[in-house]
Amino acid sequence: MSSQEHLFSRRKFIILGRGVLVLVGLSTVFPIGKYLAFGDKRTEVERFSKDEIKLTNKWQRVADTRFWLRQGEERPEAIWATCTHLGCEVRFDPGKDLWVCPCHGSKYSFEGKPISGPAKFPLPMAKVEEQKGYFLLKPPV
Amino acid sequence: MHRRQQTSLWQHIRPQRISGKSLRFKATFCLGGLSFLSFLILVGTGMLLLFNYQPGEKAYSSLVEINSVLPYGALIRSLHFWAGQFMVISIFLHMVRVVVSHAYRPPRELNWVIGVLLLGLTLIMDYSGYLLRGDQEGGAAASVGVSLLQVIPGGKALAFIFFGNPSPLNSSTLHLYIWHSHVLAWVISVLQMYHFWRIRRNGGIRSL
Repeated sequence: MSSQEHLFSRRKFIILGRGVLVLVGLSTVFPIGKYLAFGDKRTEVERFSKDEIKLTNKWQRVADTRFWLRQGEERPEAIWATCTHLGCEVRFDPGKDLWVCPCHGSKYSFEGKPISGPAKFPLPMAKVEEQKGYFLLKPPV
Repeated sequence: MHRRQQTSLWQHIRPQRISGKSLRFKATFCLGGLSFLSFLILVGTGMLLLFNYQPGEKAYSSLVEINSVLPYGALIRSLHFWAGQFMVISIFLHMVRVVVSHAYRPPRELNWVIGVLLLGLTLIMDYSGYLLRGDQEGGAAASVGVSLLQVIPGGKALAFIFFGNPSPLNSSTLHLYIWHSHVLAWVISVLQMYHFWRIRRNGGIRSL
């Protein structure tokens, strides 16, 4: 088979096929990027009905988030339980009325003021917005 | 690379001469190659699924999330599923072709045995992938598998090794996940490489 008899020589055809394969491969980059880069936005803003959590004057965690809520003197308050040292998730110890960071042992008072450990800044407060029967929580910027 | 320095492995995989007879489409029907292609798709999509699949109690909910929340997640999972089904079928047809063309005879005996091993491993992969969904159907299929294994002597130990602590419904998918994604996938890749190398050494095809 000589190449003159055909529109494409075999070699040209293979090169063309390889180009098509490369194009197909490149076309997967965008979907794969979208798939891998998908961020879970749902934990950033939390919305739940007022019946869901009974607010007390002690800190209560909103399940599976870093939001902790309590009934303040005038209005509900929320803390974003992230250590101001290196960003670990801190937990409230109701026995000692302290916030404790598991990473480097920073301790915060009930209100979130730093007491000991490497952290020097108070815990950030989260925004609480009240809507009809709902709380809307936003982490600090 | 200097020609004299080329290792024999490299020469087997990318030889200078290829037999024209073995390149004919009817010699292979490309069935082994198609099986390998589906394996490559399975590895690629499987690696993507690893980023979002959670073995254990959350298996099914993570699957639902991949299917309905993640962009292109449903496409990636469908590709993984269908490539898996296709691989089983193409391997079966590949074996029929090998039998019909007497390609299992010496000197290719050992490669036939390796191929049968690869079929078994692929079936185990297909089955465990089915269980990894973590839904009720998979749980039922798992209890069937456990019961079948326990019939053979030493099967209880085998069932424990493969399924973890067996329970009648929805036992944890963690053990299966490790076998499926991190052990058997590697075993299959290595065996496949050996399979292909032996094909080359016996003068078989050199595709693409």
